[in-house]
Amino acid sequence: MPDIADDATLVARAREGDRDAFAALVHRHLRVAHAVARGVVRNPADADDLVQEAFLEALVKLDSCRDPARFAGWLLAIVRNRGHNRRRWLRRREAVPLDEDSPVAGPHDPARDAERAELRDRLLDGLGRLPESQRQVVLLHDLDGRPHAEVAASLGISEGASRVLLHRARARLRRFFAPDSLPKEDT
Amino acid sequence: MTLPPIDFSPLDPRDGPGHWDRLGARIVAAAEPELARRAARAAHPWERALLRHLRPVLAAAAALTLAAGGALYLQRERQDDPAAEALSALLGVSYASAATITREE
Repeated sequence: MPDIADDATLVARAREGDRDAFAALVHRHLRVAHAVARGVVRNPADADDLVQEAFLEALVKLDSCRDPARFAGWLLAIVRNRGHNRRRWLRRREAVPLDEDSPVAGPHDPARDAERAELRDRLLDGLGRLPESQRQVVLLHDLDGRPHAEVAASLGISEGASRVLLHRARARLRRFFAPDSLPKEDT
Repeated sequence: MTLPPIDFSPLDPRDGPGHWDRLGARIVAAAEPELARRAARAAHPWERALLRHLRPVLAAAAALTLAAGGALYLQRERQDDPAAEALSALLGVSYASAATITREE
C-alpha cells in the first residue's frame, strides 16, 4: 500500500518545510477537499478560497496531526469546520449569492449548462444529506478513485467498514436522485 | 449487491482540469512563508529545542533568584542586628518580634 505510507511520509517532510511534499499533499487531496467545500459553500470561487484556507491551516497545525497516515480525514474535518464558519459569514453578507457558478469565458450551451447546474445542485444536496463518514468514503472512492484499502487507512476505519459506508452512501444518493422518492435514513 | 459508482463529474470545474493545477499552485504559493519558517526551524534543531525549553527554564531561574534573594535578605538582616538575635535566643521569640523590641528601644 505505497500511497498510505506516502501520506505519512509527505506529512513528515512537509513538517520540515519541504515544499514538494506539501505540493504533493495538496494535489493529492485537492479534488475531494474541494467537493466537501462546495457541499458547504456552493459557490466554486468560495470553495476555492475555503480549500486554500483549509490547506494553510492544516500546514500551520501540521504538528498536531496525530496520525499522518489519516491526513485525508483530518484535512476534510478542517475543510468542513472552516466551511461552516465561512457559510455563516457569507450569510451575513446578503449581497453575495451562495449557489451561483462563476462565469467562465468561452462558448456556452444554455440548455446543457442548466442541466449540468441542476445535476450539480442535486449532487451537492445529496452529499449534504449524507452522514460525514459516508460522504468522506463516497468522495474518496467514487470521486477520487481511491481503493478501499487507502480510503480505510485515510479515515482510520476497516476496509469492511469502508465498503459498507460506500454501499450505504450510493444507495442513499440514488434514492435521493430518484424523482418520486425522498431520502430516508439507513439503518 | 454492488451499486455502480456515483458520477461526480458535474462537480468538476467548468474551466477544465487545469483548474486543479492553478488552484494547487496558488495554495502552495500562499504557503511559502509557513514552509520557509518550518524549513528554517528544521535547519537549526538546537534552536527549536532551546525555544521549547526556554520558558520553563526562565520561570525556574526567576523562582530560584527570588528565593535566593529572599534568603540573602533575611540573612543580612540578622547579621545587621546582633542585639535582636541575642534577645530572640534569650526570650525564645521570633527574630522579627525581637527586632521590633530592639528597634523601639
